[in-house]
Amino acid sequence: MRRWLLLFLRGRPFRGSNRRWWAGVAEASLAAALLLAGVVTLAVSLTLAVLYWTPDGLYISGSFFALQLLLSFVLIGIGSYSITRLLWHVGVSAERRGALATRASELEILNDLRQRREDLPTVPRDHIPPKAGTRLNFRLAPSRRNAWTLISSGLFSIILVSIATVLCLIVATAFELGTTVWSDQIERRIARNQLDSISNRPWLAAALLIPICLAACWSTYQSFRQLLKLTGIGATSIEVSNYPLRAGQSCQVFLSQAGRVRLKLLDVALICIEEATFNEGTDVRTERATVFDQRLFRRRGISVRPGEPFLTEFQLKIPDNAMHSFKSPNNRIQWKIAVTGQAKSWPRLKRNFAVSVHPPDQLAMLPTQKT
Amino acid sequence: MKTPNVDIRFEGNRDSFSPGDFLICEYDVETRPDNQISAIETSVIWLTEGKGDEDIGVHFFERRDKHALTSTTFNQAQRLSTVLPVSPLSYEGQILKVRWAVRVRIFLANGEEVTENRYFRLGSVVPFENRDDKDGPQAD
Repeated sequence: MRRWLLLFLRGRPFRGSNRRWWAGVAEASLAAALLLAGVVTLAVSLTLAVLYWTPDGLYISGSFFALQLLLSFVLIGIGSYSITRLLWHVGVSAERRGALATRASELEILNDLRQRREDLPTVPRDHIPPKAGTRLNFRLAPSRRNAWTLISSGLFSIILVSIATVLCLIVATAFELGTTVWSDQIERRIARNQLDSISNRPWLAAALLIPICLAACWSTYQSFRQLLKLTGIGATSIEVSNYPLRAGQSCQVFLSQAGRVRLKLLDVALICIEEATFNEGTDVRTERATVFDQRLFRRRGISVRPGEPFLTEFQLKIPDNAMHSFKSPNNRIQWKIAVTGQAKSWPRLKRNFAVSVHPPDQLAMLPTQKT
Repeated sequence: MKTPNVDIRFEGNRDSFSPGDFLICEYDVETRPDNQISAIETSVIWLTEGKGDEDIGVHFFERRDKHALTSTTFNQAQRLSTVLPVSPLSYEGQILKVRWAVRVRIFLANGEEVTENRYFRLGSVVPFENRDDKDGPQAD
């Protein structure tokens, strides 16, 4: 799809490297539009089938109805596949894939890392283990929350759009917004239909329609913003020279920010959060406290161009005698590298990379206990 | 009815240990004539305190039932030893604390229980509140 878009986006202002970025944004928009069209088509088909259903059969031929459903699923499938593929390509660059192939031997280090973790009670395992980096030894996996925000807002938007579509049809039929022949048929069929309680109260349905349509538009806008944020601003990659980290240990950090934006501000911080889950009545609540927040890097006015990601290296030091990562059923201590940024006309960039901090090396502590 | 007294003490009067250290402690159980003890449990545990619901982890556990208890059990100090693990280290945070303890629990024949904890420190984690380096350097 991107190749076709690249061919289409010729001439100003889609010149040179800009073209690739615009193609990405167009691809994201097209994928989102296809998914939305599929959801609306499916909702329309099913609602009409329910509204006009009679014991004799559907209001249209079975094969045409099947074709409508097939078209909806194809649109949803293509839209979902395109979004997934887009997110995957944003997350993994061609250079990184190449580097992974050439540095396969370094995976032995990662296996060693997994074995060592067996001996550390309450130190949580990484949800996604680090991978071999291109510049430094380990590439940290971005927090799953980044992608989950998009998935949850996307699902919410799909549900609201479906409800809004169904309500639109009900209101349209109730107010006889169609041909007169259809209206007569609708009225007769609605009288026998389960949905008649709503359909016979058109003002109630219309009153419900307005807030639900507004909510559907808002949620679709938010999902699209999330999609653009993940695909448009570009991938953020963090690599570290040592992993896991230990209290008092320093390591080199490599940051790569891709995209095509001018960042007004880019901040990187090392953060430690305490998290406590408790029962309050019938609710389960979680409280978080940031107990350590150290700025690692800050720069204003960064220009990121397609094919020319912003690259920088800086130092990170886990404070001496700091607490290690900890996880028990109701309590947690979590370390992370938080990348935040602000670009004009773009949603705020916020990406987290969980860091596993281990207790001091057991062997290093042995001389003290022998005394 | 008076309940038995339990006294727990660490060897060398230390209450701070490093991961991998041998924790050696002794405990005395002072019984009254009307006390009938059915079992004694000794454990080395970590537990969380603070805003969240309490979590507990057992590093060492030993239960001595009635038939394993003799008169010497109550006439002389009982010994407990274990090698301490690497984690979790003792920690005192804002909404979460991780504490280590040696716990002796005595079960009486009438169903009552007597529990005595002796807390100790594992590792040398310094809480962030007591530090000067909370705000890091400002790189530009």
